[in-house]
Amino acid sequence: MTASPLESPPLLETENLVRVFGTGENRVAALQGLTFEIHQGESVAIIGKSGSGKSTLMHLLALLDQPTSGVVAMRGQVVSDLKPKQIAKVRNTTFGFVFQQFFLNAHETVLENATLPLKIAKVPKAERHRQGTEILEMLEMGDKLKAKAINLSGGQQQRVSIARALINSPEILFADEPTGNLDSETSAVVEDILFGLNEQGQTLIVVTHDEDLAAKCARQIRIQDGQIIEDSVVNA
Amino acid sequence: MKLRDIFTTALANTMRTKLRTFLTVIAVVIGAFTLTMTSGIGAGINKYIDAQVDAMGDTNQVSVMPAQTMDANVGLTAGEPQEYDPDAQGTVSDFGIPSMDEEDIEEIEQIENIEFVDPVIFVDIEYLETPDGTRYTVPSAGFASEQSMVEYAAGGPGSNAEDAYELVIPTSWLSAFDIDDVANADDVIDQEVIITAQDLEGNAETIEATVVGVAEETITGAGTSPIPSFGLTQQIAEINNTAGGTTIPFTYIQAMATVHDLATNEAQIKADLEEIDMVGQTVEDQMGFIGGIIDAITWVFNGFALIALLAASFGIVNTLLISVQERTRQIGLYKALGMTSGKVFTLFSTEAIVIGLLGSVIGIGLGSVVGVVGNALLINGPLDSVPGLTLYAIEPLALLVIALVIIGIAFLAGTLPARRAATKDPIEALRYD
Repeated sequence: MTASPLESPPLLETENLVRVFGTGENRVAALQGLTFEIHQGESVAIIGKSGSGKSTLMHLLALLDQPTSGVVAMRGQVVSDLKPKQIAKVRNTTFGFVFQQFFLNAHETVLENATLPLKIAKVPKAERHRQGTEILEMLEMGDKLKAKAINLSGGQQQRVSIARALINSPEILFADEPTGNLDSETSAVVEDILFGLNEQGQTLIVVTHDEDLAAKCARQIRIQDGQIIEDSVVNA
Repeated sequence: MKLRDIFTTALANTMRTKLRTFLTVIAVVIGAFTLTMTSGIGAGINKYIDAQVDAMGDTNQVSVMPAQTMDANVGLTAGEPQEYDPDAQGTVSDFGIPSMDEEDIEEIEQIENIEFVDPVIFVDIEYLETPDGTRYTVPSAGFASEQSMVEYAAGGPGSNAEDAYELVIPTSWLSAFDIDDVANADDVIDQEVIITAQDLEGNAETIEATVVGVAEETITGAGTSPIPSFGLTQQIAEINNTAGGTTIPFTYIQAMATVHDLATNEAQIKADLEEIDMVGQTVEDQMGFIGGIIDAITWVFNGFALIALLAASFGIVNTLLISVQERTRQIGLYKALGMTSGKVFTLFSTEAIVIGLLGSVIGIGLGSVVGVVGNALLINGPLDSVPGLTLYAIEPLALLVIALVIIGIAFLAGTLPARRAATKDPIEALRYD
């Protein structure tokens, strides 16, 4: 750990986080009061089976959803009750997202896909291209800048997706089943990239049901039926 | 996202589904084309009328009618039978339209700044005999007052003297005087013709008249048949209305008053006429009326064009709704990566605007080309006998307004799908399936 909880507020924390879907007979409590902290530079796996509530938790942490009760705070500031516009800005500037299915725009170029968050943030085109080129070169995609996303292999697509997640130098990188759609060889490469970034200080939150991937994270938060059943730090 | 980026993204998105965009745009093009055509034709014809009015800009004539003529319920309206009252006003009438008699004409003559009053009299000429002895029928002679409304290829208007029997002929009548070319129209001036009219008993009487002018045809219809001068008209009318030495008193539906310096005295003349229950209309007033009719017709056609655009707007709604459905994931991603709902709305309404812009540019361009080319073909082809005619005019301001209206309609059509896109939940949109 790079920072002590006693000296500065944690990067991300939750308090008694509850998320209920539906009402009456259809009422489902997806999360039943979770409280934990994530500190700068950690690599955390949120692990659980399908329906355990791990995706709901990630949506709440990533401010894509609002808790029924409880709060999400960043550096001691409550962010879960901000206005939609401010939340959008937090997502745009402080989070990076890597999705299982990449979600690239098939008809746009690699460079255009990777620089989408900058485009949303109103960064001028020349600057977007400069930063995009730099990150894509770092991820060994420098020779595919002008290629259409539709023409890439799965591994290449996920690299573009990682480039897009990193382009705004996020404080937290969320990866939702990042290797779920890749063969084992490509998975290894993507894992190397993600954990390599974590070694350089990038806070990483991986949501997965894959025990092998979870084991590569320094900390595992295991979710079952909307509750944390295990929060362990494995010495990597 | 910057506005520029929003526009380029919207453009790229609309261009991605080319066929669909094309089909949607066609509907908009039809509306834009129709609007461009109708407003261009309206503008062209009004321009022509204005030119005609300008051509007779020096006319100092005011057309005078009894005020009741302007009331809608005069004359042919059915109603309760009314008891006869010998003192009631407006006892004279023609075809149910109130008319004026000599007394009224004298009253008008009394008005300050009125120099001359020429009652409009319908005269019936039996035939006109040219110097070589050929007799021509004159189905409808012009009114003396028309003499000052037409443009002359040769000569000029006849005098207003009661004893001057003069005649203006149209260019189309030159052939009757063996003149084949308008350039030689001068040759007809001062030629003597014989005009024959019948009295009420059918007896023919003749009058000798002198040709003093050759008139060009105009849009008003003035100058399309021979126009007798004031004195000649009076003379023919007297023959027409006489039987056995008795002449029926004349009544007039309308009179043309010549005014001293009409531009300055128009208001005073109209006010004074109102006082004696008359209405005065200048040529510009009457032409304005024609312009008004043309404007009204233009608006009717514009109405049809707007209906076409209404249909097109549903096409836009449909296209964009499909687009929103197909791009649910893209919208979810945009929102997850920090795009606000407002910007998503803007993005999709911009796509609607792009469709409107494409439709209006193509439609207006097409309409302008067809209008200009069609105008050139018609006025140099089948309609080349009408001097100075324009059927189509490009008015940049009107075209701009059309473009703005269409883009506005497209934007409105886009708000429904754009709202649907803006309210999409990113979690739902990004769910794996």
